[in-house]
Amino acid sequence: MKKIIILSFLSMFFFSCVDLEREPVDAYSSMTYFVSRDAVVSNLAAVYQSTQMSGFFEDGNTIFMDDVSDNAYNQFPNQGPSYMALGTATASKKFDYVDLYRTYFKYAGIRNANFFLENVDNVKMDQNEKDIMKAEVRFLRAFNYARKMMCFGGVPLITKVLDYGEEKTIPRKTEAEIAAFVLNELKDVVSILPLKQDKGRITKGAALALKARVELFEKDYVNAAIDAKAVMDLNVYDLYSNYEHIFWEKFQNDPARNKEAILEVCYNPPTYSSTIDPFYTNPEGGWISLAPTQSVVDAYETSNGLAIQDDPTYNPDKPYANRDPRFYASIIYPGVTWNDRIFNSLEPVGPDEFYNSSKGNLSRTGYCMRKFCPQLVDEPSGDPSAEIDGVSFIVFRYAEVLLTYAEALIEQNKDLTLAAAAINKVRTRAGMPILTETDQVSLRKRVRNERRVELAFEGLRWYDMKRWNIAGTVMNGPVYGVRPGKIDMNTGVVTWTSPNHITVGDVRVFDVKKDYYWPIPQEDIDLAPALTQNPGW
Amino acid sequence: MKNKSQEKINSTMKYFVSFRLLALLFSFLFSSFAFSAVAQDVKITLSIKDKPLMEVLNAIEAKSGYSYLVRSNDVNLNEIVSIDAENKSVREVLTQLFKQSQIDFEIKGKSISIFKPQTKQKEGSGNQQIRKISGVVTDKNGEPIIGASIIVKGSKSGTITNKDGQFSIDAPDQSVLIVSYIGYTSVNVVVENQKRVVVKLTETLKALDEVVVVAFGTQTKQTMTSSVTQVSSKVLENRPTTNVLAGLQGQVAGVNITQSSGQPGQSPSISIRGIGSLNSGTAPLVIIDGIPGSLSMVSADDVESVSVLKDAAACSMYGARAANGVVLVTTKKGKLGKMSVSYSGYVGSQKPTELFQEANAYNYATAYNTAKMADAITSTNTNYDPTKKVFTQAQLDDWKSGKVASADWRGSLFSENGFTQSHSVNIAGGVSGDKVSIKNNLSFNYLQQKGNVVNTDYKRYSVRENGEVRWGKFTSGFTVGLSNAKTGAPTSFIGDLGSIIGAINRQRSVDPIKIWDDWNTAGTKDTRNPVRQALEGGTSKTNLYNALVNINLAYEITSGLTVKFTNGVNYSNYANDAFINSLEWVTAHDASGKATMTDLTGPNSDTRTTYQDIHYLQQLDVNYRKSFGKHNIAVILGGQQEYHSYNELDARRTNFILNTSSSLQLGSADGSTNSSTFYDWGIMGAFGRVNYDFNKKYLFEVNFREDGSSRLSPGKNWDFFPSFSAGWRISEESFMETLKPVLSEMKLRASYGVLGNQNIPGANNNQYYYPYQAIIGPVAYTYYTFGSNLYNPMTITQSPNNTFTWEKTALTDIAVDGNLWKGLVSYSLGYFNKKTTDMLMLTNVASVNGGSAFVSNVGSMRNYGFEFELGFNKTTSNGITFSANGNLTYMTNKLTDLGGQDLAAAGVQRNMVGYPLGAYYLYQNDGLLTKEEFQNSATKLLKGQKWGDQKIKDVSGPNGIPDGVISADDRVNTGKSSTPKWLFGLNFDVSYKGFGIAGMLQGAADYYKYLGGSVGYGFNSGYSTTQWTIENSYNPLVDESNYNSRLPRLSTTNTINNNYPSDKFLFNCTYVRLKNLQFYYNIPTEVCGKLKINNIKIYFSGQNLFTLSALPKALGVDPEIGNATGGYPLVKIATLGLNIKF
Repeated sequence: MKKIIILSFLSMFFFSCVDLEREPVDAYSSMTYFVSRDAVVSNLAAVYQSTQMSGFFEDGNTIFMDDVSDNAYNQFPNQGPSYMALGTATASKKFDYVDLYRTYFKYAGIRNANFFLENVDNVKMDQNEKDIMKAEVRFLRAFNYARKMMCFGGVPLITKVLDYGEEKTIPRKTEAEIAAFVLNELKDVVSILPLKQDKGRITKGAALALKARVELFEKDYVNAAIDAKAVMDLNVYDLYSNYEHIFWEKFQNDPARNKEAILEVCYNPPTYSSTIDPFYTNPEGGWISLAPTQSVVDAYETSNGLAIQDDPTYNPDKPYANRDPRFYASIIYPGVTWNDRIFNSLEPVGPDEFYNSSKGNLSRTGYCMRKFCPQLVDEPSGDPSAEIDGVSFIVFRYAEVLLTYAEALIEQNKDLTLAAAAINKVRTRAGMPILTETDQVSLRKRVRNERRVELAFEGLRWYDMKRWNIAGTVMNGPVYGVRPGKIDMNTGVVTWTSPNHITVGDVRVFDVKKDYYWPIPQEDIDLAPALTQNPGW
Repeated sequence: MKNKSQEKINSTMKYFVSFRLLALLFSFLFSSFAFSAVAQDVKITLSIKDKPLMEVLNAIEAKSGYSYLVRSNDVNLNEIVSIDAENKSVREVLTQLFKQSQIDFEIKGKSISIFKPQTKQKEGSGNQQIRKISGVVTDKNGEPIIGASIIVKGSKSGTITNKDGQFSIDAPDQSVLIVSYIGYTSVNVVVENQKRVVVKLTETLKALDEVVVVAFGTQTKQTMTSSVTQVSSKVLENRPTTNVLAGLQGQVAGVNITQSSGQPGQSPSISIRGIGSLNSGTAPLVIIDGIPGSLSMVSADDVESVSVLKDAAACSMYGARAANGVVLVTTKKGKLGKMSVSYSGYVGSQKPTELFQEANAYNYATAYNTAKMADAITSTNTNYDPTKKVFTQAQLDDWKSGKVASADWRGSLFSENGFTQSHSVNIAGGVSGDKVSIKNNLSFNYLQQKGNVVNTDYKRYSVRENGEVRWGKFTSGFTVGLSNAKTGAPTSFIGDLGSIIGAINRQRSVDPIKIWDDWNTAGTKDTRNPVRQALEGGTSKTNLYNALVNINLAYEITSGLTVKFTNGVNYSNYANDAFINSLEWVTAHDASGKATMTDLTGPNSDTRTTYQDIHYLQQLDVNYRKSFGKHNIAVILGGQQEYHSYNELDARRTNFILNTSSSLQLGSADGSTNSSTFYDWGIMGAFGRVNYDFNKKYLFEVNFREDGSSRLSPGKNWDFFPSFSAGWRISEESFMETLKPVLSEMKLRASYGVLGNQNIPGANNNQYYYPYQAIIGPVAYTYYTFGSNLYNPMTITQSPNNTFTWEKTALTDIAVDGNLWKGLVSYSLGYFNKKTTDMLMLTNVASVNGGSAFVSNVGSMRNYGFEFELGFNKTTSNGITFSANGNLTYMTNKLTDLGGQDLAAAGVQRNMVGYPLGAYYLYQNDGLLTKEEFQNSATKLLKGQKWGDQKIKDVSGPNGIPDGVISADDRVNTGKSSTPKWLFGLNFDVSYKGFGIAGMLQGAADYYKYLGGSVGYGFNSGYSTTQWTIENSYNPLVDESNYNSRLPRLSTTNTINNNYPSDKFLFNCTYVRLKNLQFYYNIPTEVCGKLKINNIKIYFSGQNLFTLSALPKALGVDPEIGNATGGYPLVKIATLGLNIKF
């Protein structure tokens, strides 16, 4: 009333009144934005971006998940995975970088997805295309919830854009409720999504692959097998002939390689680049945020297709000879020729890669990751430290689907031949002999190791450890690296000076009663009292 | 749906159209006024029969606007006369009137003198001889007073002074002439033998009936109930400053003005009654002639008065923008009378007040060697190891003997001769006709400042036109201020001038500025050679145009009731062009002297920034003033609307072929960047004030404003800001009668009110200006790729926030003011309490929301204090005039609520409940570690700690109790801050016979600076250090047992000092400074008159001449400077000035 009196008083004298309800002029508002297809695509890109499916540094961090496993070691006390692996992380602890709690608990991606879904119907555009985009966004939201569920258990289920304060009263759902939501959403979108899309966008295959991954995690082996099989039956995916080249930027435009990548996060350097330098060797400008452990080195079979302890031809003093080709594709080891030099992490000679150097940014285990990191001649940018690389991160790859299918069948103890065939398809591509085992127990052991080496450093090991309930065993105790020794810098021949492997960093502690579920960040509990903490934290 | 943006365009267009129409209307009015004003001959029609002459004269006076004076006492004003004239000039009417009588008349300007022609007096006839006396009447500065009346005591004859202050009168010998003028004390002159008299009138102590500019009007000081301090142009004139704010420093109690840099063109900062907010803007609202504007664009020469509005009663008519107080600037207007032309100007030279006193090379190297040896000590080897020395004895000897010079980096940077000049020409006057009068004031100003650092300068050109036309009941005003300021400063690849001075701090006296006759690149990699950077690194040029226009029209409906419409605009156009040069450096010389050149500083670049900032204002107000017997009432009611828009464009290119090219297209398109910023807001308000007083004894006032702003959520964006005040002039009570000769005036007053602060903080403009909108923007620095196409992801970057409103500030003010001994001493003592509530702070939100931290009203803080003003003004019988006025302020602030948030320390400061804003949060020093303690294995040493290092008190632990470990928990809030608790200022002026000394002392007390590296401790990352630091540090080689030194030992690593910033390095900065001292001379009117000049004043003035400070003088740190080691010091200025009025 007051306002009306004043306004009418003013308008009597002024020619026009200042409008007190203004729209922003150098940004869009939700009222003005959703008017064109271009706006929708741009907003869709934002939902993709904020879902953080990538693996690189501060861009999804998926590769760093292996630092929280027996595959790798992270030396940096300002990066979350080092604490999480040691068992010294707390709900209140904040890390400067790679804070997986706060990356994965964050709801920005979910809010963006909800925002898209709430507004996209305002736009007049091709209905079919719009339906596909909505399905993509629902997939992305499901992906986000699936990852939250796999790390934290049940979380609050938010399906609309919240006002400030609304979050305070929303409690967590159970793990089963989140899983059910994810699977239901995926079930819906599978039928809408097309078989093929622009690289980087969600397809029917990606939705089925995520569904299979979640079902396997939930030990719903029947449906996991069905959905993995459904991916196989789409007849658009196949394994690439060269295991190593799948992860190289150089081969990303090879149609055969793209048949293996079901979903990937793509880059477009130099404007939009992947950050690969955390993993590169130090003389190339890298800083080793992930150092392979002796444990993962030992997991690679010999070229005879046997575990090292089962193969009499395995010589512990020539540990790097005659191994699974995937070992050579994935790990840089002492004595190997790397970028025109002999990689020597055993001694303080040459480019300083010595595991015991006082310098930072070097591998403390004596091993470096080679997957994603080709030698410079094969690296299009030629300078990983400049962060102008364009290597994609593959979120789902056909090999995972095959192994999921195999594991799901093995756990059901049915169609074991089909299971073995799926594993053998993966092994054959890698250049490994096929399996001879036929019983469930042996095949289970085989498929689990196959997953570990095939998918090493792709960020899936932690979920596998959780599913197989093995973290209590593999994540307790010291982390081992190379054996001390000398390297002939002409031939690369290694001479060991000790039978014992070095230990790296502090002894890892894993509490099976609590560590399978990460803590909800304490600051969020403080701000939203309806949130409850996971047991033991 | 109708397109909303189209609607907006329409309304904006309407706005523009209306604005232009109005401008057109006014220009038309002006030309017609000007026309009628030329027709000066006033024609009157008069028909009177058989009335006394006096009545006829009164009628002529009323109709013509001329005033009459009866010059000789034998004119019989009661003589019965008749007149019948139609449309005749005054001269014609008077001729007709006096046709029959002996009376003669004379018309001069607007005055009519009536007299009986002298019948030649015979020599010696009569008792008294009539003398013709002529003379001049001036004010104490020798300025002529126009229209002063001179009356022969006991007679009716008299005259008034003409435009030059001259008069001539016939008076009997031994009679007394009474010379008087409103506002001045009358003077009696006894007629003796003199033929010519010079009369100087001094102003009546105006403390009481002084007119003070307040919100939307004026009030008299006598009956004011709010807290306003008005500073007149006289105060500003006495101090040749380059900025109005600088001129106000130390003049107003409760106002803190800090000049933290002496760089040309830098404005001081101002806060009124403390800093009232943690995050929101704390600058007062500045209104120039009714339109919000910037003080730095107004020449001090153009200022008539500045009113500082301090309490809620004074400010609440500005509502939502007044929480930080209001500064009202009124510029000079023309006065009726002959056109006067005046010039005022000065030239001056300047140099830094203090330069950071770095140790010379010998002392630096000696101390460095000692520090190196001390740093190398371990618990197992406590001997000083001479091999750790860095500088050899030969080097030391060379420096000591002077064979090798010590480098003076800072001196080289500040080596330019600083220069200041200011010139103003003012043309003012006014004419009046029958019903029309025009007053006009036109001025031109030029100001130039050349700094002490190469390439620093500032130039400002300004023109101001103030016109007023009265036409019957209409009055229209027209103000245009145009200014252009050009600022130049060096820039470089390491940054702007601030960065260059900061880099100087990293240069050591042991490193020469030049080697091989080329620039030394001794500076650490990130700074190179800052002396060269200043000289050749590039320049940043800023060009700012500002136009401030106010057009208004008032109409007097009936006596006392006026309606006024104001339309104003403030427009700024800013352009900055910063070119950073690429430089080749000589990095090596071979034996033959061949130089190796290397580009160490990267490619050149040009960055351009331009913006347009526009503020429109429209205002309509109604004024009513009336007295009913002893009841006096004044009312103002009005409405105001304002619209503000800001539009910025930035662009940058690099890799120009030449350093001289600064046109963007000459640079490489590769890597070019550009961006823009655009925001706007509107505010609308209705305001009012009611004054009532009974017999000017009991005073009451109510102010209010209802404000609506586009910055808050529709529906929640209107708010009401009221204030109440009352006063009681005790001195007017009968029971005070006996005290009246001493306690001439005493008024008790109090006010309370609530003000708003709409300067909402925010990370980005949209959060700042449209908080109620969901903002869609680009996701910072990221993209996304579909296929091979790059997309710019756009999403919700800000959720709508309907939760907050503006900050509220409640102000209580109690004061007593008045004067003693009939105005000899004026005084004012006040208390204020300012409580800011609903303080805007960023509030974190749980991740589950998905949004980021948002602004909400949570905290509160309080500023309170006392203000004391005292003035003294006396002219002795022998003509010495003495005046002094001083002010003293105590104020302090305290954060009272932070909404439960535990704010992290920001460096050495932390905001905590119960402590002042920005209080220092430091470790407690516990003396120095002794050698015995060092060697005692029971002592828990900090990492790197040696004897002579500071010890830190273990005051707390994670659980609040001392835990035997020195950790971040041991930091303590000292309650000391960098905001002074005491402020004081003192002006004085003594003059005699035209000569005078005027000056100003200003000071601040109880405030602190944390001075760490280079001052509190040296060699910080190879930085320079002061001689004072070396002398006051623990030095084991001088006296190993002296652990009472002011500072700990010098160290080249400074681990303990850096890691444990302690109260040891907190320096009290209390100071008193002679801000200004002026010697002036007013050339006597006699001399001026011969030169056909009204007044000439010449002066010599010095600024910042002398400082007493609690800071050690030997540090070379100016107590006022913002950044002790990396700032541009304040400057001492010596000026020679001249004011002439024709």
